[in-house]
Amino acid sequence: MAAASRSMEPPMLEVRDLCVSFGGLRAVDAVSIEISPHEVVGIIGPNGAGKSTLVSAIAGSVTPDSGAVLLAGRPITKLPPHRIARAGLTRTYQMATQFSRMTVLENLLVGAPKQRGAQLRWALLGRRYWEQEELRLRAKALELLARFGLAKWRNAYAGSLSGGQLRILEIARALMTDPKMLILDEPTAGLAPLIVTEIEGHVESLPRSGVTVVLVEHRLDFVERLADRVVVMASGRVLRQGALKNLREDADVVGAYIAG
Amino acid sequence: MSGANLYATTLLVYFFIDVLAAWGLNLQYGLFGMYNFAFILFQSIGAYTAAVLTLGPPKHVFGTQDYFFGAQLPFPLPIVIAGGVAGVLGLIVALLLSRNLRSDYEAIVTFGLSIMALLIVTAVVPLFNGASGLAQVPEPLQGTLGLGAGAYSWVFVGFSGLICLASYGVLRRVQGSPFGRALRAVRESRDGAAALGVNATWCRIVVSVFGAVLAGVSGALLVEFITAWSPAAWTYVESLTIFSAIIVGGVGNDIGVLLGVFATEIVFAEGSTFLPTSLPPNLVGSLPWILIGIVTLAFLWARPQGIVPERRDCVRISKRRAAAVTWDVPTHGDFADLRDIVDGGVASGRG
Repeated sequence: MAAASRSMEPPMLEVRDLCVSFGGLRAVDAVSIEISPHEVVGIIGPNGAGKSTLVSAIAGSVTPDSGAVLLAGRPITKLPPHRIARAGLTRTYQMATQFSRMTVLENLLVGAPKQRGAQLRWALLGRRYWEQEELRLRAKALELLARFGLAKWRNAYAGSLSGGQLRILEIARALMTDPKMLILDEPTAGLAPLIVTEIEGHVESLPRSGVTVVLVEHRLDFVERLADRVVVMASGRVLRQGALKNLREDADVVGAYIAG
Repeated sequence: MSGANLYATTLLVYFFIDVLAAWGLNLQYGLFGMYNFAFILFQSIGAYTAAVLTLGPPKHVFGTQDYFFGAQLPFPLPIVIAGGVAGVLGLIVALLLSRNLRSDYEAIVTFGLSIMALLIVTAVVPLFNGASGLAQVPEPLQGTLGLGAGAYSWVFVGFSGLICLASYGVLRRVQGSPFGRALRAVRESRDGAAALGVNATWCRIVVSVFGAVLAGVSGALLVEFITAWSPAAWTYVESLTIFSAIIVGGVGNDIGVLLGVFATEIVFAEGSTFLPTSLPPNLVGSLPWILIGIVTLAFLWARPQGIVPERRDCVRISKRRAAAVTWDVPTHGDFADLRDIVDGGVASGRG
């Protein structure tokens, strides 16, 4: 927040008093967060803390009861998910959402923003109107696949990839949208240590691409190495914010983790 | 006109009409994953529209058929309007479904719609003459062409074939484009596609309307050819046989679907009538349905991808244009020359 006040630039993401309930349960309770451009922020907390619901409410797949979400100063509250994605905020899912019966390359190409050929009228007019663009996007997609070590599998069906590769594909696919802001929802959940290290390397490289990152994570060591600061959530509320090494000793944080 | 000639032309017209309908459903179900169990309803609304617009105003005397409106429009207007009316119904159904994107919800709503519509049309006689249906629909251009029945049938074969060809051209453009790729992405994961900026609701409106237009035109062609249409022709089972043709032929592949229609509607349904049989007479009538059911199950079990599977990497780029591009991107040691890979991706369409 110090970074935000230093410059006149609006925060990349601003969440104001966001509330989400399911029936009688307040899953997200008056959460306010500010994230500056190029920051990497971790959101941690025990199971049921409301981390994933918060992500869904920010990205539009769950409608918040009240509160506001602003992306680079522009309100995106209650926009449908695809509009939020087009506005520059892309999320990944805890359960991989790969397009199984499409190739790895095709999976990336779906994410390319503002494709002319993806509009019905240009598609109907014929390929000469979008072919050049398609070839350019294919080159870009291949470049991303090479960076993420998936180029070898470019023509394989995404459904044939391993669990770890799918999470990496999900990140590569998200980058294809040229996001300003990327929210990774537990990118390492349920994966073997070796592939976690690989994913860590990829996530580490994201800020260099000019992307602001929110990392929802369970593994504290992973977050500590990658995040500039963390937001600790418990029972739908923000418990503490700051550098993880300072929070490790915090009695409330420790208590929340043990109680959770 | 010889019996064989009549048989051949009838079979061919049926084949083209079924292919047209199956392509419409393949766009909805095969590409987009929309479970439209009311598909026959769209074919039916096309048939009724074309019939009413060809028959002329109802005479309302005892012994004639009763229906609403009625006009005698020149060919091909009844067929064109039939497609339009079905398209509007497709839009309405897409909007009805827009509250919820889940496919089980789609299936239940469309199945319910299909049955409701059948009950209403059967019960409300002034609509489309109830259970007896509409008959004696004049064949298009029959008087003006001055052809014998045999030659006329061949004209109809050619006409329905041309409509199929034109529809294939349009479908190929849609399916082989990045828009078609977005449709497939929604089929595979609605959440994943939305997170990448794909507007699934708009996609569903497009496939729902476009599929409905194809269904409506196929229904209009059918009624103009057989000159009659009644509720018995469009029970929900008819929707299921189109699903069967798609599953047998290849979900998401229009050439496969064409072969699927040939296999189910011609080889099995029609072929079964030639089998020497000692089955009870009531069962003989149902034999085509039973055979189609068995074949569908066999394919789902042994070859779920169908006769011709969906293409790998569906976007079609001309090789010439791909070769003309110079690439200015780094290679990362995974492959020698990036251009080979892009060309390879284009050339190895079937992978």
